[in-house]
Amino acid sequence: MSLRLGLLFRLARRDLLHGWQAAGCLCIAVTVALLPLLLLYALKFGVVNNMISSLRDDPRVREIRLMRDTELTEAWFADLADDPRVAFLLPRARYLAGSVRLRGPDSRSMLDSRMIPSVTGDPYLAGGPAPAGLSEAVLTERAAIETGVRTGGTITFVILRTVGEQRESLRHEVTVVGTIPRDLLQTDDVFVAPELEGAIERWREGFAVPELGWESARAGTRLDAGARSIASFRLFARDVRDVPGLRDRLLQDGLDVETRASAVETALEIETGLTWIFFAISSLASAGFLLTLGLHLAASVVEKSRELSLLRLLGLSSAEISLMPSLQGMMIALTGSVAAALIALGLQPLINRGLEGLAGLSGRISEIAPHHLLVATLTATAAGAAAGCLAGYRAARLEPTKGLRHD
Amino acid sequence: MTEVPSESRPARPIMALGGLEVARFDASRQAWFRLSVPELTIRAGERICLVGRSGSGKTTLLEVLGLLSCPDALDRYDLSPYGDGRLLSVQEPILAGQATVLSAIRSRTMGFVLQDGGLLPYLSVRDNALLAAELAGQRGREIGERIEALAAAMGIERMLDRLPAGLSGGQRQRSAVLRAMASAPVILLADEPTAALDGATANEVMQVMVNAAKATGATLVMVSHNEDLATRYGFTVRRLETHTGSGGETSTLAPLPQQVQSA
Repeated sequence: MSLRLGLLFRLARRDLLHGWQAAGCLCIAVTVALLPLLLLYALKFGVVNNMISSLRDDPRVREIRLMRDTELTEAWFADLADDPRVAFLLPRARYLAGSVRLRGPDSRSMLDSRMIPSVTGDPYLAGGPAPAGLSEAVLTERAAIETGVRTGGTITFVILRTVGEQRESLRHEVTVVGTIPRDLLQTDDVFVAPELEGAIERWREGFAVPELGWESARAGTRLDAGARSIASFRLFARDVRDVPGLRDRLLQDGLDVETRASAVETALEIETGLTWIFFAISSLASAGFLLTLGLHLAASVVEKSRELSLLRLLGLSSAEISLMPSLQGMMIALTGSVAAALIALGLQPLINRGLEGLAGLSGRISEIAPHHLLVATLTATAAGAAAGCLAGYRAARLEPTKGLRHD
Repeated sequence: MTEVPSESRPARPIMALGGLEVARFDASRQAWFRLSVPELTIRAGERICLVGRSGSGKTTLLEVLGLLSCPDALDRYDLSPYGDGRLLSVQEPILAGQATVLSAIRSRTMGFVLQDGGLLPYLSVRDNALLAAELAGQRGREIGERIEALAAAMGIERMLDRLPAGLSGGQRQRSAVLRAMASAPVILLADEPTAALDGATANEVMQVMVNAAKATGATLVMVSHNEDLATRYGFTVRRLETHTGSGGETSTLAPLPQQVQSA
């Protein structure tokens, strides 16, 4: 025999509406139990999100720097590039080979700078143009001020090499296509395309760079560079949460790295702590909610045993009768949780206004998304159904004769 | 008050049972109670009133007739509710306690009028009646029309959208009759439907119930202490006689008096 769920739903709803005072009190109880949980969750989510997103906004937090030059194989490099936690990875010249002197058109002195290979997608460029080819560069704001060059201007690279007893220098002019704000990077670095960095590194090592017309150390002889070894790299994690894991991987590979993982770990520890607190409180509240609603529904079955027996007398099966308390539990929980969700949404702006600037956090400190509210509502509704199980068991045992014999 | 003359007994048996035995231990009296019905045949359109002293097993018998409880022994229980001669044996499912089967038969063939009406308090009179019809598998506009016509015949058409709490005792019992008749049952089982009413109101309710049964051809089986009222409305009185012995009390359904049998 199939269950007549539509009919059961109508009967359960009519019964609740008939005793609206008791049902209303239960709905309020559900709202009162759920509202603090939603607000606590919103606070936990907002605070952690706030901290994490402020970390996310800073590319330095996602950067993992190699402390010393080393010898890295192509295979190791390719393996690291395949790591899903890696967002940006570029090989980098050895420290000494990557240094260069910069001279602006009007400056008398030169600025010792360090070349940083860069391509489109470099987090430091923040969406600005990437240096391309052999004649473009992006300066840090500090380097631009020191050399007096602005975007669109020309800067001269002065490159020195010593091969044996012989010291040589050359000048190479590049166009500045952008600058990196000082609040992002407080160094005198110059960002160049990997081709230019590689060309300068090759020339420094005594090789010729035919594409730029640079000759090898022994004039007149053409020396070509062999396979390039990777001495260092530029690495950015996909997300701040990936930084500790990548750091640990590199440490396991015997590489000394520098990160800001501790800031990330602090945020994650706060998240874990708040999650535990949330679960402890929500477990207690859920137990109280289940117990209160369950006992009420069970008591209601005793109180309404005649009516339920009448329904059996009229033709409802014991299985159908057993569903009535769970349906009512679901309706009460759904109404109460929707009310709690609406109140929580309404309180968000007030809480955020009240907590503005707390602990240096900016933006929304209390934050709850519609899908969180949906999950909360569905969970509460399922709990409401579960709360009706004991009452349902009692209801199923009611005999239709009780409807006939009424004292 | 309008008296309804007794009618000639229709020929077709609608309900026939034999060898019914029920034994219950009455904890309050610390004694056994036994009900014995050697034979009971109820014919289509007949009106039967079960009488007997309190505790004689009238309601217990009504429960068995209404497929609500399981007896200790039952040799035969045949129902012929469809008017086409088909015989439905419920002896096996009732002894096996097959609640789902019994519930389906009950809701499609029987209507109940209880002592206090037994209306669901959260449904209007109309919805109480519609619920009974829906549980009997009947839906549609004609059900609503049938309920309105029945209510008009019972004089409660203006009460249809009221909740039971807003009705007087007599209106409530007439509404209970309306609900019982909403699914057009072939058998109406009434447990002391007038016990809680004053004399005049009891007459009105009896009138409504008997008229409704007559209009649809339904058979009426009623438990009552008011033998006079039952006789006045054409009920055949069947008496449960109780004897006290060393093992407790035993009630037996007395056979029909000879003059009634030959009437």
